[in-house]
Amino acid sequence: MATLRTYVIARLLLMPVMVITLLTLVFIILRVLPGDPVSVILGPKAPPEVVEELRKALGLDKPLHIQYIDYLGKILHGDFGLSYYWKIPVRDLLWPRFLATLELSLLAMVIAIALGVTLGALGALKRNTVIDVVTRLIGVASYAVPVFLLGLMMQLILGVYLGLFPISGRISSEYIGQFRPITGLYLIDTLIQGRLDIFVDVLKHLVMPATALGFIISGVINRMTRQSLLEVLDKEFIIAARARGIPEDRILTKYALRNALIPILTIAGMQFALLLAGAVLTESTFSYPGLGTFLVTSVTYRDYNAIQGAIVLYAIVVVIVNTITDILYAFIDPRVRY
Amino acid sequence: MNLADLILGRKGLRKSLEYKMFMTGLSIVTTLVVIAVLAPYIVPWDPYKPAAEEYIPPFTDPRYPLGTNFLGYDVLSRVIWGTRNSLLVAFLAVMIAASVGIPLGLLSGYVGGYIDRALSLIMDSVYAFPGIILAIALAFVLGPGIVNVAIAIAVIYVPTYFRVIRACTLVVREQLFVEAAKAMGADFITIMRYYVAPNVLTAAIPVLALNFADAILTEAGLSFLGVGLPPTEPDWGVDVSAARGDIVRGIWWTTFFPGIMIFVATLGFTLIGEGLPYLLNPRQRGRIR
Repeated sequence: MATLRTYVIARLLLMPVMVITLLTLVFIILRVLPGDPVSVILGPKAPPEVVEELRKALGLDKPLHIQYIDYLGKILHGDFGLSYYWKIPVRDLLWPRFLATLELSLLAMVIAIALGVTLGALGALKRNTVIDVVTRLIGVASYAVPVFLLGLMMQLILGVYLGLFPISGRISSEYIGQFRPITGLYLIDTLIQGRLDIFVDVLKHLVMPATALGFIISGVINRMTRQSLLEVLDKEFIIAARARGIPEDRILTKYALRNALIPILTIAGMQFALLLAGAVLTESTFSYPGLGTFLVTSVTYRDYNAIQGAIVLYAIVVVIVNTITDILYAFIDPRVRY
Repeated sequence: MNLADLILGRKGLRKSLEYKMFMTGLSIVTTLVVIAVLAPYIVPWDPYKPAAEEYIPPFTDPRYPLGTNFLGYDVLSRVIWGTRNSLLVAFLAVMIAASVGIPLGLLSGYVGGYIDRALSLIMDSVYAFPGIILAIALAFVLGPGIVNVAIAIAVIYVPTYFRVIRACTLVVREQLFVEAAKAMGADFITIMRYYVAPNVLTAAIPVLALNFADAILTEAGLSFLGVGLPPTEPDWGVDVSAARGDIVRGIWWTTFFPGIMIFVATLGFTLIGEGLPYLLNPRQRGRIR
């Protein structure tokens, strides 16, 4: 498997290149484009000496190429600067919020896969029937529905009218500080510390945002499942299995789905960028304290370092996840390696 | 197959789900465009001013069919005017993205070499980045306003056009007629304009429709987050955002009506984009996205 090894090494070597390209992109957007961060932060009527002071504090008085090197150097050392609003290092603010986003995203992904695979498999099995049309239309609807509309309607019906779930936040206020955040993923932390009551509370907070976000992502998985299942069902080994008299449901689970699942899971991994983007809106809808909410509130506070830090963290995460899915894909599909 | 065949559903197309999807999408979009154009003549109340007392429920007073919001603005008038803003921003964004992405894709695909590699790396990076996050950063720097939001959204979609057009250009540039043109001494601009471009542009059409759908969703999202259109502007995303606090009090119409319009508009363009590639070329079935 020398070719696979070469591919993996090449892909890993590309990682820093992509990170630096994205960091450069962020730099260009935040510093080089016509908008001036200082006037954005202070507003147009700020006295000139204050403007000058902030300009110095931000290092914006230096030439662009020096700023660029400073910026890259600091990020490579994990230094994201100080938050103006919170008055503490941005790095310390980012990490717990990133973990909150991770928890939400992972649960949403589980829901998306469950929903997408079920709907897609139903569609493929009942091809060209009403069920097929309905499952496909649900798929199209999932592309088109704004996640915040779905979220707000869930809040209204499941939260306000039926009182089943809390409509916002990550944890009820009486439980804050009742357990030690070890991993930062509350579901795991509460479980290993045996606090089932808090676990249920956290889960209840997660149900609506994760379902809303999961539904948005499920469309792509739904389509992919239908497509790859239809392809597999046409294969000769399925016909052979039928000819041997193997029951239809066993053919589906043991033969068809297992073969179709590999591309499905890869596609799911590739939806990660979509997941992060959807998470920004979902978090904001449910006031969930994740990275997305942090980015949006930092924009409202004009907290320049915080905005830059959040975006840089997103960029790094995206590159890492893309690299992992690409490598996994290469393991599965030999045609990718070259 | 020509456009008349497509719309009239000739050649046995009428039965396919894709045809029905395409036609439904086309009807939705046409209706929305008509509403957007006629907005100043059909709004019952000024969407920039309160029309009555706040929170009149929908379907109770015929003067305010969809009720009023927390400031007493007529929800129907806001929703109608919002169509205008939403379609305008999406249209601008798609046009800007296409007019940057298509030429760059042509250039990159045709010229190749270092330019191609550098452009591809940049485009792939932008493409990998979660769109709305990039747009938030841009909207923050550029500030509010219709054109600025359109630019922020456009940046997300430039790589989509770039990739599609570049891939097609790579195929077309190897064709014999391009070589013939070169042999006859045609210059770079002539080859691009008369030989390459006409043969690759059709590939961008389904992308255009899906992009439009996405642009509407992104604009609504940005406005919902408070970094899109200014909060006074009648816009579906702005209105949902302003009304989100109503949900706790069980008031649903102030978020539902503008929200459902975002869904309907996005659905319309998505259906066109989904149906179109199949109708234009059955072999491409399900290859978009």
